Amino acid sequence: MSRSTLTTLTTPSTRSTLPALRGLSAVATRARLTATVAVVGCAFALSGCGTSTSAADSPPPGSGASTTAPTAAAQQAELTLDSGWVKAGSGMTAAFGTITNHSTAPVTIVKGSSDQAGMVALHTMEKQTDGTMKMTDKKGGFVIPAGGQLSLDPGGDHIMLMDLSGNLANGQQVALDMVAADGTTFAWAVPVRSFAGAQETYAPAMPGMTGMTSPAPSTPTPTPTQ
Amino acid sequence: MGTHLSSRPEGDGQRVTPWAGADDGLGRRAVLRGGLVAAVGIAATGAVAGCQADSDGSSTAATSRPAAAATGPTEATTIAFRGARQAGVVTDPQPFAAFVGLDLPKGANRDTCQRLMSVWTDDIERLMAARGPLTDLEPELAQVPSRLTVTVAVGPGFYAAAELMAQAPAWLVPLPRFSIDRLDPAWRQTDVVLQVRADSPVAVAHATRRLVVGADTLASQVWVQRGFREPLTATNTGLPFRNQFGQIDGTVQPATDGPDDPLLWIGAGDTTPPKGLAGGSSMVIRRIAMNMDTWDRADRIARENAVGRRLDHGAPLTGTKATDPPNLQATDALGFPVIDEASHLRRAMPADPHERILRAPYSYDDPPVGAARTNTGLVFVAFQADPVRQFVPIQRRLAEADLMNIWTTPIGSSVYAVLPGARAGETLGQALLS
Repeated sequence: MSRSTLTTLTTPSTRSTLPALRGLSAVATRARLTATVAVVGCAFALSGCGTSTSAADSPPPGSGASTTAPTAAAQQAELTLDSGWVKAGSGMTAAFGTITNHSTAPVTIVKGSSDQAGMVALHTMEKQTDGTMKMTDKKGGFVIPAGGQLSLDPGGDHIMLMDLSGNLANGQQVALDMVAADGTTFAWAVPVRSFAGAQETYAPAMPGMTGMTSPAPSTPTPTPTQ
Repeated sequence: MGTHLSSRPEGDGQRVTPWAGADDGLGRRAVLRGGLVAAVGIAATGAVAGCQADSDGSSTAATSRPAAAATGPTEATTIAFRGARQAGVVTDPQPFAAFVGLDLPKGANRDTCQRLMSVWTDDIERLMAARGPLTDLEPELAQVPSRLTVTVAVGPGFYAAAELMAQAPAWLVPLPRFSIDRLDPAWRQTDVVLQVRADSPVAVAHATRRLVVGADTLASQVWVQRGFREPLTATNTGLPFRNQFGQIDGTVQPATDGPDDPLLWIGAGDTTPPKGLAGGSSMVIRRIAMNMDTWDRADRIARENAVGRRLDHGAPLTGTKATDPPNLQATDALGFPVIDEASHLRRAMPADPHERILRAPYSYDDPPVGAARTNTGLVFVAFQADPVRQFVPIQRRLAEADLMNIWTTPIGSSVYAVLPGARAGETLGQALLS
């Protein structure tokens, strides 16, 4: 049930990142990008890392829950969000899951929107000079290789939802419209789930971002060196 | 699904035929030896065996006990979640279980109920398929499913929150107060209950944790009752179950493969089932404390007399094998009944053919409290289409007289409606809440 239903729309092509997030770009320059996908540092205690994997890595067949063979509807779309979920909360939150590219060409997601959020951004987690992990803008967007996947996890790449119009409660759904570089829009209905993690902090601190501000566990504890 | 059953040495032990003479025993006022009080528990005939038999036939294949259970691991075995009926009712009872009672939050409404079921439907489907729920950062713990089943049932409070009291089955009310009960509020009736069972305690622990945490803000944990039984093998399908008194508890059960469906499943025999419950059942959970210290003082003859069956293989004291019908008229050389008037067997026997229930009890052996040496007993679990019609008459007789009441005390009692299964695309409770 959690393979998000989707439709494909076309909107004017754009390559711009969201203006409000440009302030993050200085920090994001340290992002280590692979050929296709940014892989964030793995030191974060409970976090997985955003990685590019083959679609063949999907869960075993017959597993009952969502990510089995694409439905007829899904086959019309290049991108699906499998096992997607949004952390319950208010103010701001994030969406996770596995984006699968069913097409034969790479797809880059550059922005998004949601009826329930004033702003949707593409973020990642990155180790700072003090050793802590902080949330930063995802430079260049989310690149999903042809026939491949991008995993969005707490502590790694994720879709940020800010300026929520109300509380997102456990068991509700959120509508996400994610836009590719060529303007194609992918509409995903994503279930909301309570989650204790994803307590990331921002780098640098951004005024107005107060929804997920608990300090991240800094592992290892940074030791200032001179 | 009946194939492996018929190959069992006990033959048709799953099927219950009312014994001739049952009425004689119950019609008389029992002469009680030993100044008894009464109790539940340990129904002389008890454990569940059999296989899931979905009415739509969609999920039976994965539910049979693996033939190689005696010689090989079962950790790779999954049981289908999707189907017209939930798993965990007629499924061979796995050796480890956790029963979790939860309450809805104050102010809960139908939307709360729907969201809870939406979350659990997806979480349970994934867990039973050896995958972690959506938010699980340790899905590896789910990768050894070990025949995990999770069964969801709801209490009166669920109906009240959903404003569906008018549609609630008449039997979904607290059980009558039995004279033997010493109920501890700690084990009280809750709004919902999860039954989590698996061949591995790891699978039970992980699934329980994820489901309780996953219900955050929608339901909060009130109690947890953990239980265990013997591992299933090629020759032990969970029947009989030997309780912590060493008694064989489970010789006679309703058939779980069809003939007794009206006794087990709502809508199988009644033409006007309560709204949204066709394909469901009812679950009675009673926590029965067992006094191990006083039991130790009883000799083996007294123990067998109390239950009316032999301890070694569970045969009635008038028979030679567990499946033998008891001869309630038999007397010894002095004229006393061979099967005591107050024996558990005699008192638990159905007075009418419909007074039969499917028992899936689990032992508990929790850390002792205070100076006690044991904290041991039985999580008595019974499934039936209508607990008031089927279970309560049995329980009344046991409360009135049952030698086992000397050593056992009911300390918890609750009754729930087991929701129908969720077919593909459905959410648990959908028919009820829509």
